[in-house]
Amino acid sequence: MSESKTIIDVRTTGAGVVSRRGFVSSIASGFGLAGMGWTDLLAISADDMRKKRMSVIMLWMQGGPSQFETFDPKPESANGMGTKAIETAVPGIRIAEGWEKTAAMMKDIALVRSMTSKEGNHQRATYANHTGYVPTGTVKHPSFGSLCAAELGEPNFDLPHIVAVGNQGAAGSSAGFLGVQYEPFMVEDPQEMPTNVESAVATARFNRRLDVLARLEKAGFGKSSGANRVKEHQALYKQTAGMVLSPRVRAFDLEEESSEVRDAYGRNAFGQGCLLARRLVQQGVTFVEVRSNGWDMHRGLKETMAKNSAQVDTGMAALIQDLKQRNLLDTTLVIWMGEFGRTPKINPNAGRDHYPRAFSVAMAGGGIKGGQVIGATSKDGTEVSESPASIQDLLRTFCATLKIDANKENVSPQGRPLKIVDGGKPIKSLLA
Amino acid sequence: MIRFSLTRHFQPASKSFLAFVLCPLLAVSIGADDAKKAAKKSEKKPGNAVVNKEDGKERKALAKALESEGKSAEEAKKLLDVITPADRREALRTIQAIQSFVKAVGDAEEKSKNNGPNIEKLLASRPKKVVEPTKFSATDIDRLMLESLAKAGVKAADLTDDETFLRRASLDLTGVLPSPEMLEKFQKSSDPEKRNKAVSQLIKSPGFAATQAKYWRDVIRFRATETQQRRFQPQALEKYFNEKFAANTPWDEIAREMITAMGPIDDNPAVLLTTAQESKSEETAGEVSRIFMGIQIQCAQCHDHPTDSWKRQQFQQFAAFFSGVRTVNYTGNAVGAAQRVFGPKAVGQVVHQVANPKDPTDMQQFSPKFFLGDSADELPVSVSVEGRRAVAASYIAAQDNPWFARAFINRAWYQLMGDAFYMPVDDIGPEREGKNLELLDALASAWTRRGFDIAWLYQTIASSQTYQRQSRQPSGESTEADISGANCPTRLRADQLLQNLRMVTGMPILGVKPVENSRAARAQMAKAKAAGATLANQGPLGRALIKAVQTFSFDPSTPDEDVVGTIPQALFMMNAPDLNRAVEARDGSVLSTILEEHPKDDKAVLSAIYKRVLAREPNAEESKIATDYIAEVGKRSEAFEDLFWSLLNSAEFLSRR
Repeated sequence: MSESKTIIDVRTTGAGVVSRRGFVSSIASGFGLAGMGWTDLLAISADDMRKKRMSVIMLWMQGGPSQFETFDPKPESANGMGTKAIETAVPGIRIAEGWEKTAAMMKDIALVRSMTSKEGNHQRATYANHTGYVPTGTVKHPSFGSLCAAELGEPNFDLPHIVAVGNQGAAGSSAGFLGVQYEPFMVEDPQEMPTNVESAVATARFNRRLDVLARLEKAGFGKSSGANRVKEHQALYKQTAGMVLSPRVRAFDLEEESSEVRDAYGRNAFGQGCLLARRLVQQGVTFVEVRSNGWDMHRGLKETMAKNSAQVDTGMAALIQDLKQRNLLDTTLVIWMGEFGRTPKINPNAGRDHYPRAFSVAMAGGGIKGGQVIGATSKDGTEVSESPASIQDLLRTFCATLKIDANKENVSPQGRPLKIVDGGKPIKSLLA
Repeated sequence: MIRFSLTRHFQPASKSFLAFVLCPLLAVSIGADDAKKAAKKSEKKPGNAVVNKEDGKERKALAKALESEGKSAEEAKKLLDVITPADRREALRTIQAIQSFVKAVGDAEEKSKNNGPNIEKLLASRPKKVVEPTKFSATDIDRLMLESLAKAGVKAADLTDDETFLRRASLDLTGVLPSPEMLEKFQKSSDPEKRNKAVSQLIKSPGFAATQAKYWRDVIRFRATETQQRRFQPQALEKYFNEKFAANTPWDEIAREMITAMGPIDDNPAVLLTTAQESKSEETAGEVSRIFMGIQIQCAQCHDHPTDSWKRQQFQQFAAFFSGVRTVNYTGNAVGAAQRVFGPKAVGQVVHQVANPKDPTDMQQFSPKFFLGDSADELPVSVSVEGRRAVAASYIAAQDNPWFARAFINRAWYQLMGDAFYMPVDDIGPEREGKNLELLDALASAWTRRGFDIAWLYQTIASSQTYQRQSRQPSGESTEADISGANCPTRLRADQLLQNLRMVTGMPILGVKPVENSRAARAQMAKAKAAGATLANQGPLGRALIKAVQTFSFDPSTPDEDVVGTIPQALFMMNAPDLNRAVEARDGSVLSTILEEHPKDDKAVLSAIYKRVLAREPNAEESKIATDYIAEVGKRSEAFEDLFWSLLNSAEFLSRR
C-alpha cells in the first residue's frame, strides 16, 4: 500500500521529509480519504519518533506581572488591593480571582512564590530571566530556549527548533553566541502564516528553479573560490525548501483546527499563540515562547489585569488541558513567567511598580510535580519568607527535568567557557 | 551601634556628624582609605585596661571634642553627665573618627583641586601629533606580502580580471555593485592606470562614507546593551560617521571625540558610543578597548584573565577612566516621551568603585591608569569626568600606541581582503598570535605617520596587487600560508545586499506583498521620511525595511566562517512576494526591457542578466545549462524569470569575492 509506505517513510526520516514527491503521489492516490488530515498523520509519527523527546512552552508576560493579582494573592493584607483569593482544584492552594480556568488545572500546576532577584529594569530583568546571566556588552548569552534547542533538538528536523510567537525581540531571547541555527523563528501574528514561508510560484516551478540554481552555482562560483560557500548555501536552501515544502509547515496554519478548539484557546493573539505552540510541539519543535504584552501595570492595575488575565487564563488552561488530552503534557514543560513582580505598595495611580524582590512563576508538565506551592512571601508580601529561589535555581530545575546537563560549558567567541546555568541549585521538590 | 547610641544623646545637627552618618556613602568618594585607617587607629586606642585616670582624660577629651563640634561648654557638660562611661568612650571614638574623616575629606578635596593643573600638565606632556609624508605605498605592501609568501612557500594567485576587480572594489569601497554601464566603460578603457583611478574615484564617492558609516554603526550597535531607542540611536550614529568619513576626518580625531564626548545626543552624536553601553564604566571601557585597540581586556572584569596576562586590577583601572557618568534626560519629564533628549552626563560619584568579587561588602576603589605602556601615570582617584576621559583619549588615540593603528587596519584589511592579520578582527593585542605581522607593522607605522588618514589607507591597500589577486577560498590547512596569497570571499552585509537588490531589480525589495510595496506606499514613506519620522514611523514600508535589515544583519566583528545563512534569509530570497514580482517579465520591468532589447538573442539576454546581477559574463558551462533550461521550459520569458530568480538566489550574489 502506497499510503502506509509513505507514513513509514516519514517515520524513518523522523526529522524531515526526504521525498516530497512521495507525498504528492500519495495525495493523488487518495490518501486524504483516510479521514485524517495530513498534519494529524505526521503528528502521530512525530509523537512516535519523539518518544521521550522533551519540549518547552514558555508563556512570557512582558512587563512584569503582579504576583498579588495572579498566583500569590494577599486578601488579608492592605497590600492585597482587595483582590480575592479563589479555591483551586487542589485543597489549600488558592490563587487570585480572574484565574478560574487555571485554578481548575491546579493538580498539574506547580507554583513558586519565592522567586527573587535584583534586576528591576525591564531590559536587564528580561535578559536575566531569559538567559540566567546579567547582560554585558561583550558576550551575548544564549537564551535558555536556544540552549534547549541546541541540547534537545533533532539535528535534521525540518522546522525551526525554536519559535517565538508575539512581539519581536525580548531582551536575551536570541541564540547569542550559539549561532543562527538556534535563533528563534519569529511569528508575529499566530493567526497568519509566517512571512515568506509559502512559495510564490507553483511547487513544480519552485522545484525547477531550485534545480537550475543548484546546477548554475556548481558550474560558476562553485568551481572557483566559492566552492565551500556554494556547498553551505545549497545545504541551507535544501533545509529551507524542505520547510517550505514540508507538510509539517502546515503546523503554522491554525485554520486546520476546528473552531471549537480555536474558541477554547480564546480568539486573541495570545490564546491562538498557545494553540500554535501546541501544534508546533506536536510536530517536534523543541521550544516555543508565546508572549503576552501589557503587564507593566503602573496605573489602573485592576482594569488592565482583568483584561489580561482573561486572555492568559483561558489560553494557559486550554493549553495544559489540551496537551494532557493528547498525552503530550509529560514531555512538554509549560512555564508561565515574567521579568519580575510588582510592589506590595499600591502607588497613587492605583498601580504597582517594579519589584524584583519577590515574584511568582507557574509551571506544569514536563516531569514537574503539579499541585504544590514552593516557597512563600510574608503576610504583607514585601519579602520572601520561605525557600527563596533565583532564576538560576529555576533554570537548574528545568534542566534537571529536561535531562539537560546544566554544567555543560559552551565556549563564547572570546574563548570564555560559560555553563548552561551558572550557579543555583535545582528545586528538588518540583521534580516528580 | 555607635550611630544608635549617639542619636540617643545628640542632636544630629553638626555638619561633621552628618558626614559620619553619610559616611558609608561618602567614604567611597573621598579619601576613604585615610578615614578608615583613622577610624581603626582610634578604635585600638581605648584598649582593655580602662583606668580611672583614663576616664578623666576621656571626659576632658570628649568635652573638648564636643566643643569643637559646636556645643557650648555647658551643653557639653550636661551631656557628659547623662551618658555612661561606655557611651562616652563610643562617642569619643566616633567623634575622633569623624574628625579624622573630615580631615581626610579636606585633604582629598585639596588634592583634587590640584587635579586641574595635573591633568593639563599630563596632557601637555603627551607627545604632540605629528603628520609627515611617507614613501610607503602599495608596492611596499606587495613586496612584504611576496616576501612572506616566499618564506611560507606559497604561490600568490594571479591578478584578477577587470570585471572581478571592479565588482570587488565597488562592493568593498561603496557597498554596491557596479552598474552594467560602468562595467562596460571600465572594460573598454585601455588606460594602464584605470584600476588605481577607479579606486580613487570610488573612495571619493559618497558611497564610501555611506558604506563605512553603516559598517561602524553596526560595530557599535551589535554590542549595545542600551535598548531604549531615545538613548541609543543607531541612525544618528550612522549620520555622525557618514559626516566624518565624507570629510576624511582622521581616525584619531573621531576616536578622541567618541571617547571624550558628553552631553545631549542631539548636540553631539559622538556620545552614542557611551550611551550604547548605558554610560556604564566597565561596559564603556570594554567597548572602547575592543573598538579602538582590538584588545578584549573586559575578560578580566571579574577575575584575572585565565589565559592572557591582563589582571582584574588593570581592567578596573582602565574602567576608572569612564566612571562617574550616567545617561540622563536632558529635556526633563515635562516634555513628551518622543521629544526627550538623552545623553551621558557627569553625575554624582566620580570615583570608580567596584565590589570585591570575593567579598561583596568590600568596595574597592580604582584610580584611572592605562594598561598599555609602562610609563602611563596613575591619575588621582577623584579626577573629573572630563579630565579622566581626555587622558584616556590621549593614550588610546595616539601615535605612540601601536594598537590604535593596528586595530583599524586589521578591520580595513578584512573588509578588503576577506582575511585579516588577526582573527577575529577585534581580538588582537600583544597577547594574540597573528600572521604576516611585518606587513601589518610597516603599514601601521606608515599610517600613523600619515596621521591616520583613512582615505590614504584604503587607497594604498586597494591599489596593491595583493588586493587585486584572484580569490581563493581560505585553504584551512596552513594558517601561515593562507594569508592573502589571494583575496578571500566573504558574505555581504545587510545594507550592501539590500542596496544591490534594489539596484538590480529597480525597486526596493523588503519582503512584503507587492501592494504594500507599491509606488504609492513608497511615496508615502518618502514623505514621512522627509518630515523627519523615524524608520519605525514611516508606515508599513518603514517597518518592513527594519525587518529586512534585521533578517540579513550580522555583527561585522564576527569572522566570516561564523556568519551562517539563516532560514528567514533563505525564505526571503526564495519567496518574498515583492522579489518574485520584481523578477517577472511584466511591462516596464527590468527583465521585460532586456527581453525587448534582444527579441531573438537568448545569449545576449543571458549576458545582460549576468552582468546586472553578478557583474560578469556567464562562463561556457553556465551558458549551456541556461540554454538547455530555456529549451526545456519552452516559454522564453518564463525561463528567463527563473534564471533571473536563480542568480539573485545564488551564493555569489550574497558574496564579495
